[in-house]
Amino acid sequence: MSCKKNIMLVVLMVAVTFFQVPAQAGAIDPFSGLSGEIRISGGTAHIPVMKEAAKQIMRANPEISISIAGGGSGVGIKQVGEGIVDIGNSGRAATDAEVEKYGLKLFKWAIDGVGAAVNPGNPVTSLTKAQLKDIYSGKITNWKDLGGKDAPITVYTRDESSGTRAVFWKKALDKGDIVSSANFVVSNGAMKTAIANDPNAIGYVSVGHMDASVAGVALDGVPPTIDTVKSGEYKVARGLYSNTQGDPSGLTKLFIAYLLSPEGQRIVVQKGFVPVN
Amino acid sequence: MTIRILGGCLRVFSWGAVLVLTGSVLVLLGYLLVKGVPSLGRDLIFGQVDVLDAVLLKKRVFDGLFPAIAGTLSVVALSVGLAVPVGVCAGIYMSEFATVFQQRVFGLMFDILAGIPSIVIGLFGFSGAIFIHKYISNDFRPCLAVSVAALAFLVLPYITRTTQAAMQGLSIQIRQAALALGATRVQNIFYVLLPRSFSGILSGIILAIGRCAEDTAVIMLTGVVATAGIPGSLLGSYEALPFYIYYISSQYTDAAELMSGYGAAIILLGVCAVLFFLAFLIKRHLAGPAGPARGRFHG
Repeated sequence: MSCKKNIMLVVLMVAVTFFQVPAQAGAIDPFSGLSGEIRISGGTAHIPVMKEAAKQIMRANPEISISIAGGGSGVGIKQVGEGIVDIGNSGRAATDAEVEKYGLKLFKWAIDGVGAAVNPGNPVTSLTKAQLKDIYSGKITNWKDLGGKDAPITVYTRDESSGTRAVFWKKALDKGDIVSSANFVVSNGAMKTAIANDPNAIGYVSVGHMDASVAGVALDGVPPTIDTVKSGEYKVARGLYSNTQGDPSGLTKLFIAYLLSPEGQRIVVQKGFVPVN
Repeated sequence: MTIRILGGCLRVFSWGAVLVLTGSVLVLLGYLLVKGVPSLGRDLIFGQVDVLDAVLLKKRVFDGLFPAIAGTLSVVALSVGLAVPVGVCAGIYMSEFATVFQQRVFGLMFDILAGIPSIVIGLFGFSGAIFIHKYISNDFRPCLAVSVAALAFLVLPYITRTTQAAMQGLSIQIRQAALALGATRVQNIFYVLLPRSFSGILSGIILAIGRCAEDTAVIMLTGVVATAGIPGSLLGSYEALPFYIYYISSQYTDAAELMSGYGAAIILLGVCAVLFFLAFLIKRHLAGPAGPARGRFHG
């Protein structure tokens, strides 16, 4: 009996070590023994994932250094095109003109949904697309017209360089007008703070950033969540891309492979995005 | 009578101005401390890494401000180190060798340089880096060296102007005594004028240190990034505290991150305070017993 138990234990231990080792080291392995630098810039939504991936790689391989800068999607595409960085991130697919001009290769490694959000105290948690467009164009200015309390709507939006704004404007507002009295905020974090502190606010944040401080607004009956973005039900979404000039090689190639590996995709999930693999 | 009333008014107004200034400094510091102190701590600087391991560069810090502090110190040390010899020599030339006409022309140039907004200097540095990247070496990009050079240009006028003013401010007796005893011009500069104006020159250097430590616009365009680790080479990217504060305050994802920005602001103030204190010690040590103090009658 005890002998059987011991054998079971040994088998179990062997099995555990056997399966644990590749699960822990796997995607990092190709980097071992290498040295050099990877320069990354561009989309700000990408940074949390980039930081985590860089941390994992650099922690295991001290000879590799990875620098990560922001700047926005446009900056990322331009800098990688000019050869200033190895990877330029963008929250939109590069246009045909850009691809042709710079010889870009696009790698999509995550999907990010953008949802309208209101203060958690607001009873209005579901809107039709037409209502949302009317709010943003300034046609509807009071929550009571939408079944809420009698209070003016405060509209929040992001600035022009924001990829989040670009996808919301294109896919939720159908490129409609944004009223000129809308308040500008600079990031998902700032948007959340604004909405959380203003009972009459409406704005939009990346689905990955939504938490209890704001209430996601269902659009045409579909709530903005990771699951609905994943299933394709929620349409206001975009790909997160890493672009390289020509085919990537060396460390850059390994880095992109890492993002697309199970480990990289786990980081993607951990940071609130929808994985592609 | 009117004169007396006017005098009284001026006095009250001056008092008010002093109070407003002091008050705003205190309010600013108080606000920073209230907001930032809760986030201050070992973790803010070193993340999960052991302090000794981090300081000895055995392990890299990923979740803390240590790389940004190291980056700021390197940028300050290198750019001030680059600007001081050039700036002081230019100041010596202006004070001792230049004709009145040259003083006017060059002085105007330095004042123009001092008036150029730092973002323009940053843009210039960026364009320079791109030029080198395109036409000289493909491996060259915005990096620590570009930031250092651009910042050195930013602070050069302060150093030059204060050096010139400090040397020209010496009394005519001091300026000419050694010459009258047969010293050469160079001897006069090195043995008399420089030591005696050291205190003034150092004020310019302190100004320059502060400017290098806090300037965001220049470094933003010339090589600073969100994550890079401890600066390893002049040709690599680096992190810096003012950029971290700027970046976090515009891109924070949650309240805790914003708080760490306030913590970083306090650390930046602390780093500046330490640098100023060091400069002050040097000033006392070098200019104290052997410097101008000895020349004063009561000294």
